[in-house]
Amino acid sequence: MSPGLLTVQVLSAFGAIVALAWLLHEDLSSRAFSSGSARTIVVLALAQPAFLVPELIGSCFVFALLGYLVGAGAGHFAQHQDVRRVVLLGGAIAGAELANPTGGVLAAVMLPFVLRPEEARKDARKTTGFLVLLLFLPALFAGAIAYFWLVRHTGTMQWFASGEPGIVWAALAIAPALPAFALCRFDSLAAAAVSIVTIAWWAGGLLFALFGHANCTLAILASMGPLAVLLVGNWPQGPERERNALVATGLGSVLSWVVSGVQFL
Amino acid sequence: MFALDYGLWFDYLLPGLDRLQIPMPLGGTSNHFRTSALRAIHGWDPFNVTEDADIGIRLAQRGFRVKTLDSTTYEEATTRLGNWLRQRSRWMKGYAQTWLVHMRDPAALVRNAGWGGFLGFQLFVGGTVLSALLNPILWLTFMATILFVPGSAAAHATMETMSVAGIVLGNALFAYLAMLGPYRRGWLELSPYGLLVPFYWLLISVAAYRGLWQLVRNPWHWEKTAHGLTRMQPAAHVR
Repeated sequence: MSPGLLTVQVLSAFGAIVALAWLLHEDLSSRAFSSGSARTIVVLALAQPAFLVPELIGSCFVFALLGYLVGAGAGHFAQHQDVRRVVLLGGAIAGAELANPTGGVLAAVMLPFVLRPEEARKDARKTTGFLVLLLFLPALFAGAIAYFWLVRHTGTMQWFASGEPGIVWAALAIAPALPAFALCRFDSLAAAAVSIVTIAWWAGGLLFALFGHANCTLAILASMGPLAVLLVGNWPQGPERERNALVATGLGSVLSWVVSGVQFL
Repeated sequence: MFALDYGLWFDYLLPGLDRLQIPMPLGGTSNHFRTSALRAIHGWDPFNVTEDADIGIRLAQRGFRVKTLDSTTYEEATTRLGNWLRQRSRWMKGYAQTWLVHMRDPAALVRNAGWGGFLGFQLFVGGTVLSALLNPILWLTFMATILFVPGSAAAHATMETMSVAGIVLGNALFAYLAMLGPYRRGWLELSPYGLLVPFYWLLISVAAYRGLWQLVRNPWHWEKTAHGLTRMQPAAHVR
């Protein structure tokens, strides 16, 4: 990558990280976190080693953003199971598959167990209908990914793993889920949904990394930060909540740095 | 498929047009007019076989607003192919008539309905007919691209990718929209039938060509839809 292009990529990614930090801060503030705690949690969550490597910052940020969008989409759907949020969640998972196919597929398989609408729990035909509706976009994107992988011998995952995501692919991956930003507020079911997405994203990404995409490890670690903010934001209110949230995101960040250090030793 | 179609049209698209203040091609199932408004537009066009859709556009042209009510009128679905084809051909012919009538003076349409209304009219009235007419042509292009290799391999690969993307994305979009149709009413069990949309759309194309043929040969003929054919009983919530 040319130095000029690298500079543009780093500056763009840095700007995007600042924008994401602002969104996360606003989200925590709206959940009755004090401004100081919210700021510290966001800084801890986004203080990821991947964001300090110029060659990786762009791809790792896109990877982290996609994980966050799936988590946010799942949380929104858990709270309001209307048609717009079905589209948002399906779109978020579909877009995420472009960066983390195993994570996206795992999320698609695991989420319906938690997120089935009440009426679909009583009727097998309604359950089938719900599954078809929710999984249609992820299945379509999975088919497209498989087509490009098997027929064209190319795929978006290599770009993310190599640290050089094509801007078109990155935009394509984010676009279906971006409207998720427009919605907010979760409840306890949302916390469960976000937890599942976090696990799926992490496990799926790890599986992908195990197949030799070493850079992917840094991206996975970076993506845990925004998801952690979503998670702690959904914890029930109590006297210990802010302290626990600070400890949890701090520990997550320390873990990221330790694993990154071990990887590069 | 009829329920998916109606769910999408009446639960999502028409309220959407209402919100965006785009002229609404009305359906004939249940409309309520002020007599003064009907008189102001000189009644309905007896030569248009979808006079309801035409009225919606003419009301907009005269500055009236059409609103959707949060209410449901149930309708018997056409359960036989021939009957369905006659009904759908009439709708397609009527939409084509409506488009031709209002496009005699496009500038007036822009002036009266605004650019949003003009584009909405192209999309929902003209586009409905045009997409149905183009659909089989695009399918044939796709099949030809797959079966016959034109020119160089690189050109073929590009053409093939474009065809695959067009056919998959186009059909997938409409299938997904159809699947979303029954969601608001909780009829989730109907959603999987949305996967049949590519075949349904081919039938709609047959109806569109039939309607086009009639528009040329017999433009004012009204093909009646036979009702009372279904053997199904209305569901409890419909009675």
